[in-house]
Formats: sequence, structure tokens, C-alpha cells
Amino acid sequence: MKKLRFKRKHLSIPYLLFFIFFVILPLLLIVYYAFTDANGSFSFGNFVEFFGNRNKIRLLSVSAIIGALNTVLCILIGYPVAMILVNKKFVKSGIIVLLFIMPMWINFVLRTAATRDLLYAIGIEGGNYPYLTTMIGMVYNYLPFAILPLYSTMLKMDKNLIEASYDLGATKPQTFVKTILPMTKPGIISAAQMVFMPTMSSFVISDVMGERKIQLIGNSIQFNFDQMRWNEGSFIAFIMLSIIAILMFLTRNTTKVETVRGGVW
Amino acid sequence: MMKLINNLINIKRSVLALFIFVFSLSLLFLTGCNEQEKVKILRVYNWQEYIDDGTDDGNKVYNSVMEDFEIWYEEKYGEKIIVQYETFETNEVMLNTLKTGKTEYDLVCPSEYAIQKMIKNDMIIKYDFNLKDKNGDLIFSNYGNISDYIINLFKEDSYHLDEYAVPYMWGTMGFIYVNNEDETNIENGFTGFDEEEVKHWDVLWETDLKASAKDSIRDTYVVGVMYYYRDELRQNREVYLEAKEAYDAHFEDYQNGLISENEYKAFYDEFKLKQDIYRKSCGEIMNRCDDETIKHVEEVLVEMKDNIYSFEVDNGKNDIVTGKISLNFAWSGDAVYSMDVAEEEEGVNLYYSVPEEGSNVWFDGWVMPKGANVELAQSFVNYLCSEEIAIRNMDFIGYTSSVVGDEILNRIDENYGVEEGDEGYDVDLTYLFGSHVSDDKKDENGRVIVTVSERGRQFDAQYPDEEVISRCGIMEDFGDQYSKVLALWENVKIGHISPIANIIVIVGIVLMVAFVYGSKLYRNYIRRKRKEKFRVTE
Repeated sequence: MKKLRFKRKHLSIPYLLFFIFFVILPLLLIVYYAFTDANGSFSFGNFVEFFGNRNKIRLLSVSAIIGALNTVLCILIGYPVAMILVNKKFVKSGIIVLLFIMPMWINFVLRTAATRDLLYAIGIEGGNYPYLTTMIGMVYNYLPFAILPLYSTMLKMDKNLIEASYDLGATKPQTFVKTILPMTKPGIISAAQMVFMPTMSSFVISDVMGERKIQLIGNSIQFNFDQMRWNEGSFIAFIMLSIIAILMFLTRNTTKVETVRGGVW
Repeated sequence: MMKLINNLINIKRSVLALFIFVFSLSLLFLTGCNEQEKVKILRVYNWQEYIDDGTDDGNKVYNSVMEDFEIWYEEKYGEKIIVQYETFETNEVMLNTLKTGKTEYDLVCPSEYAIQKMIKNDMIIKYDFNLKDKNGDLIFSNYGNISDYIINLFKEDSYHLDEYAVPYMWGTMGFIYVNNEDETNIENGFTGFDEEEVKHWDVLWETDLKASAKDSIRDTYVVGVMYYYRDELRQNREVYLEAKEAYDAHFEDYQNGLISENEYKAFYDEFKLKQDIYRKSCGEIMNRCDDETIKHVEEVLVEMKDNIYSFEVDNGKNDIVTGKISLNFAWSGDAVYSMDVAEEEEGVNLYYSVPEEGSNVWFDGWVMPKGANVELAQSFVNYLCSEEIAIRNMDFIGYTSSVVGDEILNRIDENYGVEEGDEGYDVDLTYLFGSHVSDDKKDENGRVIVTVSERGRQFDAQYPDEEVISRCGIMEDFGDQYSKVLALWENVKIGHISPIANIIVIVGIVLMVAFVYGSKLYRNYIRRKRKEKFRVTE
């Protein structure tokens, strides 16, 4: 009788099962639904419907613009914050870190609803400025996703290189552009990846903050599934997947940790 | 040898384990079967907050209707039953759940257009109103409590709703708003709308104040249709009003003894006929969904979206109370809820109005999906149709039950009757209560007249008079046009987006690609140069 020996590779079985059932299978299902019609037969109907609809293309564009804007804002705000967090003086007290992490402990739907009421109280009303309130809600919700990757790359940053840059006579802005920025580039890119796609596909924030007057591509997916139009909904989800794939392809080289040498020399 | 023994023991062990496993499993099944034989389960699927569930502010304080039914059933038949009660939020969610078939139910409570869809897809079974229980008594003894008027509306339906569904709650859709002319509101400084303004759908397109509409295709599509065909609806209404005026004059003549009863009856029948025509024309217009209509409704709804403050599905009934919005397009039952709460908590008097062009009257009914326990399900619906339980549910949820009778009239008098010193209004509810109340509740002409203290508020929302309901149409399933209406709604929600968005994105993508590859090229260029430089110096 062959004995079953426990091997180290068996540790991967739980995750392998998880990976098959919750990652591979759903992806295959999305692709299946995207290219079939309601009767289950193969069709390009959803493709034609989506790309033949001017409004949907524009919706995709607007979602992309909002996503990009949110990414830029989150990185612009998150970058200095991450730099402050890395500073040992602040980390020791722990309070600042706590302040940034604490909002993440509260349920995000609740947080969004509270943000809406807060903005309403100070006179920025979702019904009158739906895009403005949606943007504020987006930045508020996705800021931590931008800060964390930036923070972790800045921790790994080699401080000696910065000092060397000063020693060699670089000014502060020069040091920032030629040393710090290239070293944190992987962080910036992964922050952008963490913020851009979720923003485009979120629907709760736009519903709550924009008083349901704003539609993003995520709302469109949700609407189609609500109305039992799984094929149409899946096709839009498939488009989102393709966009992610393209973005990953474009940024595939830049995520590697680069040595700063090329920049400094 | 030892090895063999060891192996044998191992095998024995696994056999033993297997045996124990199978044994316990069968035990589990056996007990399961016994349980099921003893206790019948009634699975009910209903709207959220749509029955008296015995709670007060979320705390359970007394028996729910379901629990009382369990007790009642055990007393009557000596059998223990369990009611499994689950809720849904929208008709679409309910249909989704039934279609995926993960759970099966004995009773579901959808709206009329969803029932039509279920009949069309052969999902539900007919009622057997002659079914008898094991004592030989008719199970559906309370069917007579349901208003003839509503049963007739169900019968009129082309899908024969009356055979598949028993009406539960019903109501209209209209505006709930802050009234400028109410004295309490003037005193407390609340401003909103004049009564004249909210008589027309135009208010959603014209108001500068904060108004809100439903984020629901079905309901808001109706608003668009009513607004787009408003001229036609107004013309129809004028014809109807003329007929009504003529009839009122004849009635006066009859009361003064100027015309005979037979003559009056003839006028009455003629008027009823005209009223019926008017009602049906409203229903026909409301349900228009041809391509032309869809195109225009989309245009007007996009305009409306730009003017109103928000879309909502469930915030509206609270937002109008807190004053965040001053007008909301609402279901009558939610309106009653808001009026009650606003009065108690904020000291503002809200009013309800069904626009004159017409609106939507809706019904929710109990239907039995295929495979339902017919006897138990019908027994529960019958229980709900008793006046006592109907009143309990109405008081709890604020909607209007299809059940009518003496006790319901008493309740109206208790809740809305005139207090001493107050001016009262007479409302004719003959159309609804007609043959269901005892003679001492009727006046000498056989009419059922109730005198209420305030017009345009809770009572009117709960019990619209015949004129209001005559201009309200019943929703029908969109049928083949369904996907076109969905596309319309998506376009409305997306609104007008300038094509500049596309250009910005294309420019953005081009810039990004240019940046990524450009920087790479630039770096290579710099490196090459440096190498050359080194070579030169070497």
C-alpha cells in the first residue's frame, strides 16, 4: 500500500482550490456569458450592442476620466502623506499612522453615506454638484489604497542614495526628481493600479454621493445584472478585464525595482 | 506478518469509520423525515416591511401575523405548522430568485406586472377557490371580504389575474410635498409648493425647489409617458369632467324629486360607462411603449433628470421628513408613513396629491409558484383576508388593504373621523365598499359616505375617491419592448455626455503610450551618447 506522505507542496492545496473556484472559474464564466446570448448560444450580439451604442462608449470614457482623475488626486495627496508616515519621528508616536488607518476600519458604505451627509451639512449638495461630490467620495475612499503601496516602497528606499545626491551638490528639487521619484516609481505604479480600476467599476460611491444621478461603468454592470441581463453585464465586465490586461501589459517593465543608477549617472 | 496485521487493522478501522459515518448519516435522514411528517412548512416570500411582524422600532414586542397563524392553524386543525418568512426588495430580485430555483416558495407577493410575467412564463398555478379542508369546510371563506371593485379590475386584465392572484395591498403613486397653504407650515416657516403646482406632472420639470423621483424604470417611465402625453390626457379629462358635472346635476334633480328613479338610473349607468372609458383610456396611454413613445419619453426624462434634485429608492420617505427635499414622487403607503413621522417629529404637515393627468394604481397579490402546498398557502391567504388581520397589517405598514367591510369603516372613522368643532369633508367610498358593508353604514341612497377631517393627507393617500382612481392606470408587462425600455432607462441615467470625453480619453492614451515609450527611447539615447563620450575621452 502506498503511503500518503505529507509534503511541503501539499500546503498549496487550499489556495489551489480557492484559486480554481474563485478566480479561474468566475473568469471563465464571465467570458462565457459575454459571448453568448440569453439562450446560451454563441453570439457577438453583446459586442455589437456595446460598441454600437454611442452613450455606452461615452460612459466608458467618462468613467476612465473619473478613474484617472481620482488616481492623480490620490497619488498627489498620498505621496506627501506616505513620506510623512515613513519619517521615524512620526511613526514612533503612532498617532498619525492610526489616524490614517482608522477610517478603513469603518464599513465603507457607512463611511460614504456619512461623507454625503457631512458635505450636505457644509453646503456641497450631491443633487446640485453630483460630479464634485462623487469625486470627493472617491478620493476619500481610495486614498488609503494609494498610500499603502507608496508607504511600503518608501520604507525600502535607500537613504544613502539621497544623502549621496546632496553630497554631490544636487538641490532639493533635483534630489527629488532624480533620486526619490525614480526610487518610488514602482510604488506610484502599483498605487495607480490599486486606484484606477476600482474607481471605474465602483457603483456604490457614485450612487450615494451623486444622489443616483451619476452613472459609471460599474453602475451599468450592476444595472444589467439586476435586470437579469447577465450576458450584457458580463460583456461590460469583460471589457473592464481587457482594460486591466492592457494596462498591466503597458506597465509590465516599470514595476520591476529599478536601480537608480541610470538616472543618476 | 506484522505488516499484514497492521494493514488489516487499518482496513478494519476504515471500514468501521465508514460504517459509523453511514449509520449517523441515515440517522440524520430518518429524523429529518420524521420531522417533516410531523410539521408542515409554509414558505412565504414577501416584500420587506409588508406585514405586521410584531416589532416596534426593531424590537420584537408581540406575536407576528405569521406566529398567530401558526397558533390559529393548530387550534383549528390540531396540526403543527411552521411559517418560513423571507423578504425581497424589488420584483426583479424576486423573479431572479425564483428563476434560479435555489429556493422554492408556497406563496409570493409580487406586483401586478410581475404576476403577468409569471403567468406568461408559466411559473405560477391557479387558485382553487372551492377547495375544502379535511372538515369539509371551504378554505377560502374570507374571499368575499375583498372589494368587488378590485376583483373586477383583476378580472378585466388580459392575463386573468383573478384566477392566479388574491389581492393584498394596493395604492396609487403621487407627490408627497410640503404644502405652502397649511397653517401649521406657515406658522413654523416651512415652505414648499402650492396645491395648484402639484396637480400636474410639469412640476418635476419646472420646479426650482428640491424634488426627487424614483430610481426605478417602471415607476419613472410612467412619469415620462404621462408628461409626454399630457395634452391628450387633459383633453380626456375634460370630457370626463363634463360627464361628471352632468351626472351630479341629475343626481341633485333626483334627490329633489325632479326626475324618477328609472331616469336617474339611466343617467347613472351612462356616467359609469363614460367613467370606465376614461379609466381605460388612461391605462392605455400609460402603458404605451411603442418605439416612437420610447424615443420621446427618453428625451423628456433626460430633461427631468437635469431639473430634479435626486433619484432615490428608499431614502425619499425619510428625506422628505427631514426637509432635505420638499417633494417626492412616492407610493401612497410610504406617503402615509412620511406624513405620520413628519407630523410627530418635525412639526411639518406633508400632503399627498395624485396629478390630474393621471397616475399609476398598483396592486400586490399573493400567488402560488408551481409545486406550492396549495391547501396551506390558501389557508394563509384566507387568514390574511380576515378584517381583523387586514387592519393589523394596515396599521403596521401604512398601505391600504384590498379587504373592506364594517370594521374597516370603523377604523377609518377612528383614525380620520371629524373631531368636534372641526370642519369635515364627505368622501364617497361606495365604489370600493359598496356591497360589503351592512345597511346601517349606508345613507338613504345606498352610498357609503365617510366624513374625514383633513383633505389631501393620510386618508386621501390611503383611500383615493373614485374620481382619482378613474384616472389611474394599471401597469402592464412591457413584453417584447422590455429591452428597449431598459436601454431607455440606461440612457436616461447616463444622461447627455459630450463626445469631448472620448477625445480626452484618446488623447490621454496617446500621451501615456508616448510617455512610456518616449522615456525609454530617451534613456537609450542618453546612454548611447555617454558611451560615445567615454570612448572619445578614452
